[in-house]
Amino acid sequence: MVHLPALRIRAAAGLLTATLLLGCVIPIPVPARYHYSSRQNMSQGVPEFIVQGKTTREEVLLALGQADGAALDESWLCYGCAYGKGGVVAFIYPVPAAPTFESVEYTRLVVYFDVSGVVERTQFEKRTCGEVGASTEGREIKPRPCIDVTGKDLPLVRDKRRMPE
Amino acid sequence: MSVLLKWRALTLLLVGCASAPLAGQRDWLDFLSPGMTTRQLVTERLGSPDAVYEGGRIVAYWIAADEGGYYKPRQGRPPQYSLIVVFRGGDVLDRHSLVKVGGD
Repeated sequence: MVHLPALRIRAAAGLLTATLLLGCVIPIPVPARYHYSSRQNMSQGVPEFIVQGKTTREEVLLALGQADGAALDESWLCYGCAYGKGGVVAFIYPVPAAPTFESVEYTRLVVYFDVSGVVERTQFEKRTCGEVGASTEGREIKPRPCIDVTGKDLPLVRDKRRMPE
Repeated sequence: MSVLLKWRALTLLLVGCASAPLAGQRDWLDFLSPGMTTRQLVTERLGSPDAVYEGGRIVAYWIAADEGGYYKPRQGRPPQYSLIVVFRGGDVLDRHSLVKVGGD
């Protein structure tokens, strides 16, 4: 068994104590709220007025408003929201830095249309993700959302379809 | 300047700061009339649309609102409403809707 000199132990403890006292971490709770630019009119599922083979793009827009994302050929419209369910911001001094830990619920509705502008199918998804962001010395690092509410992960145009025989 | 005058000036300043002027107008969108309003008038009153669909047959505008009514959202501020305008025959308003998308 190795015995460290008492003086060295006291020195290490003193150094650790000084570090903790000089560096300050202030945790501040983040309240639950919609993200700044998020829409707040998402339903819990596909809205009942959307009927496959019947509802038109015009009717979807008139009911839900401007889409958050759209295909280049308008073959789909995307509506989504991001709701922060709460978390904590840790202000760190003297670095200074402010990492953020937050649980975010993403909701997205994608409405696909056929060539005549009638609803072909819908895709509704809801997912809660733990996100970590950071802000330090004027730079902000934003977490990548687990669902892109603007539909950047969706194809830009309709998939090529087979010509009818 | 007398003490009374200074207090009056200070009171006026404080009252002015307590309530910012309202930007909205309650009748700002009343010009939208199906079958009558033209695309040109919509563009004159609301500016260029924020989104265009179906080759321009459907256009969308973000709209903000306060206690005074509706107005064009300021840069960087999230809007509370989405105005959808549908034209028929190319340039005459067919139907429109104001959809609440944001919080108060």
